[in-house]
Amino acid sequence: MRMRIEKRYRCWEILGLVVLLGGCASSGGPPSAPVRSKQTPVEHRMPAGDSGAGASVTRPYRAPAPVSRARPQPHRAVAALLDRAADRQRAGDLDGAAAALERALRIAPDDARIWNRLARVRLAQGRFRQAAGLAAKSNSLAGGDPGLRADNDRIIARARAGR
Amino acid sequence: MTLLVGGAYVLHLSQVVRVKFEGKRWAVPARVFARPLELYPGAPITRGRLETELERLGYRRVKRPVAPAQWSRHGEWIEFHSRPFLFWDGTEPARRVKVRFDGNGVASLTTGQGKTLDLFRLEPPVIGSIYPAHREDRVLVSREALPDHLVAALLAVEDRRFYQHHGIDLGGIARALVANLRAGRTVQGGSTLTQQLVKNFFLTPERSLKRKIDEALMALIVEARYEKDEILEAYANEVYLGQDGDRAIHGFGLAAWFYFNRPLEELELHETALLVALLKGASWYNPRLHPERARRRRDLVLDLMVRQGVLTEAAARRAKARPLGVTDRRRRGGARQTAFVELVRRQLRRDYREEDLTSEGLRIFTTFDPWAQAQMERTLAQGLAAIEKARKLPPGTLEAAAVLVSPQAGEVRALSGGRRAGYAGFNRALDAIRPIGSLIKPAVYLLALSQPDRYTLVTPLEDEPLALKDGQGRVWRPRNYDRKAHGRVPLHRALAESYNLATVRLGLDLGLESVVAFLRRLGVERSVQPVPALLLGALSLSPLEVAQMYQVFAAGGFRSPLRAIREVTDAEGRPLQRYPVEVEQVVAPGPTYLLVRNLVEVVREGTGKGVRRHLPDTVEVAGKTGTTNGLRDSWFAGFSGDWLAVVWVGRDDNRGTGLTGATGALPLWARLMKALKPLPLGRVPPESVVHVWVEPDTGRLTAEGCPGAVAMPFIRGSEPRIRSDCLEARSRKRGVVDFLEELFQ
Repeated sequence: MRMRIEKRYRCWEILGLVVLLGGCASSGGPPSAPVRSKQTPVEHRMPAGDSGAGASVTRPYRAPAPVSRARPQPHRAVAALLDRAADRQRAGDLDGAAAALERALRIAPDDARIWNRLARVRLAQGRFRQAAGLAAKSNSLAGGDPGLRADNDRIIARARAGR
Repeated sequence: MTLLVGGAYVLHLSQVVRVKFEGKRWAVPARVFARPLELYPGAPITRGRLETELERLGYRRVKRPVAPAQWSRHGEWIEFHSRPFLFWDGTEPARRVKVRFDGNGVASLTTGQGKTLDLFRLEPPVIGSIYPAHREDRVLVSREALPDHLVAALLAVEDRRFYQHHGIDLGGIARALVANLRAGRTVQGGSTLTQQLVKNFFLTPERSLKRKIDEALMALIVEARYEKDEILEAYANEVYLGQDGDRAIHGFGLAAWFYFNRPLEELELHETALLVALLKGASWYNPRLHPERARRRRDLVLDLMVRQGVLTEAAARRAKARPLGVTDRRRRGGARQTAFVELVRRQLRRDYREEDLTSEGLRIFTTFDPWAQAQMERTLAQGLAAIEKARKLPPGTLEAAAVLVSPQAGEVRALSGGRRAGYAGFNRALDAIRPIGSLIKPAVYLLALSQPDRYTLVTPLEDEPLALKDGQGRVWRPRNYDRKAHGRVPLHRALAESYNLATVRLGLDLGLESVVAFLRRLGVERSVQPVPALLLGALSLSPLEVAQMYQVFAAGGFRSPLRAIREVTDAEGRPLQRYPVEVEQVVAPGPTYLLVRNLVEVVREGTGKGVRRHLPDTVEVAGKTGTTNGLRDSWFAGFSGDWLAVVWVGRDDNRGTGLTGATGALPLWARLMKALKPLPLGRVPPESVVHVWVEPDTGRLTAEGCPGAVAMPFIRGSEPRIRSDCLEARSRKRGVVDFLEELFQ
């Protein structure tokens, strides 16, 4: 197994390159554990940006530090609003659902799930252009959550078909 | 005959009265609200910030909150009893809430009964109203909302036989006559409340016999047609009670907010007595300017109440012992946010007629954050004073404007139209259309990075002199700020150091028409000329328009039209219009990520490194300086994980300031950011981005630990292919090791 990986990514391995994975820095708390993309090498660590001592430009390209530790994440408030939005949507009150989701977005704007739910509400409202934009936004924050990405892609496809 | 004419005349007056009384009596201005403060465990809100918000809302600090609009503090706990509030998505009922704080902000939230709460939103403070050209502002109150002590004071002073007479009080006139004769001047009026109302409603202020007769006739008509309580309600909403600049304060409902920052129902006797005192002359007895005079008049009102038996001596004594209780307009709540409300008004004008805004009593819910605005005003004032002092400029020479945005959803949270906060003058954030200088460069570089087959962060650019002919045959020779040419420089350094020559060459390579089209995608709506000087910022925009462009960078390539409004409801709270969060992907996330990393370099190692004097290294931010010819405009635009701010510094007379973007706007921006305690940029790299080790100056591939090696982001597939000597040496060594390993495995 190890040999096969080395063959496939020999060039990378030998060069000792490091690739940052989408899921390793999470600021918005994607719903499921980060999943590594198949194209990325096995090695999984941040480049130590300061290793090039004496170079003029090192730090700016250090990967951004995860910010989730900087402040406690408002999980419960967001969860409560997602629940409320789901209730309203079930009751057919799409405007009410959207209002709850927008409220959640103001609290956790990097949470890919909220953008996804709002895209779903817009899709149900027949606002296809917005649904597609919101789903794309969710994708950009989804990190390595394949389930969420797949759902966003479905929304985008249906929005395109609906337009 | 006379009888017939008289009858016809009375009929005519009766018609006039009916139209006014049964139609819409007043134009009720739209009320503009700030955002509601959201409380939840984990909210980055300190105890002090919540206290300020409660004060802004006119909540009273008490030992134990038992009624709405009261709060108390016990150590790290705050307990408050909220007012009920009609939001666009339903009513938030009044409830008791306990908030515990820790070092990070809100630690927990419970109800009065000790039940855990996931979140709670406070009612939003009012930040202004949109009133019509005659500048009358009012908040309507119903008869039931008039406190008994207000009615008692009003009748005691103005019309003690109100509930007995039929519009005119002959006894009252006689008493007034006697009192006036005795005093030798007018000390008492004989007009009933009905007559006063008629006078305000229908008649001009001239003093003539005909007018007196009309007034009396109409008072009788009003009394004949309408209930006493209807008349009292009309009076309570009509009266003039003060002046706020060019805005006239009408009615007890608005006066309660204007003087006490609370709804009328919450006022106490000593406060309503003061409002009644003002009826005799709102400017003469203005409690903010003439507190002693106002106090004497208030106490007189209380004495009259005692004399007429509607108040006990003891209660009057207690009320007289109370201070006036009038709020300071500037420090306390009710502050009117003229610059921001102007933006709201402009955005509303797209959807509403002016007269609907000024008459229908609409409720406008905005994105405005009073706390952020306070930080902005304070840091701009301090920053400008510091610059003027350091440069020995006369105080007041410089002007500034700033816009603060929550970038992911494109909400404008604060806006400063100039140095004098709250002054309704030239709104520079919206109307100062100035050349943006180097602020345009990120757009040029982002367009380049969107073509990864042609450009990466390490693509070499030529920073060499060039001469270009314009349409009229004139020759344009751009220069660098330091007047030097820097030869071959990697793309990321050219942006970090804001090199003009490299940028002009890059832009010409991309094509001017492409750059113009790209600016459109970024949200620039003004007409843009495709001339080479555009590449160095020969494009004039307002600070708000710059914020729109940078919003796309801060939001990872997604454009959201900047909004100041969330919802509009009618006076009864029914939703009329929503202004939803809208996003459109206008640039791919990968190239945008590369640009943002490059803008982080600007702040760490480039023209924006002065930011580090104010912000610690751990708070990663991205930004760009901008300077225009003759040092007329100093700009800085940049963002953290949660805030985007644009700051402009210059002079209204358009003369040079001697300031670059780095020495003028930058320190103001950095002070503001520091005050906001921002979240660092912490964006997850998009899937299309890989980090590889390169030599940043040559752009060659290298390995971790090799001299100068840094991990830089590339769009997958565009990584450099040329390898550094260090890498070559290592892979030779590695090759031998691999060979030996395989041999002995």
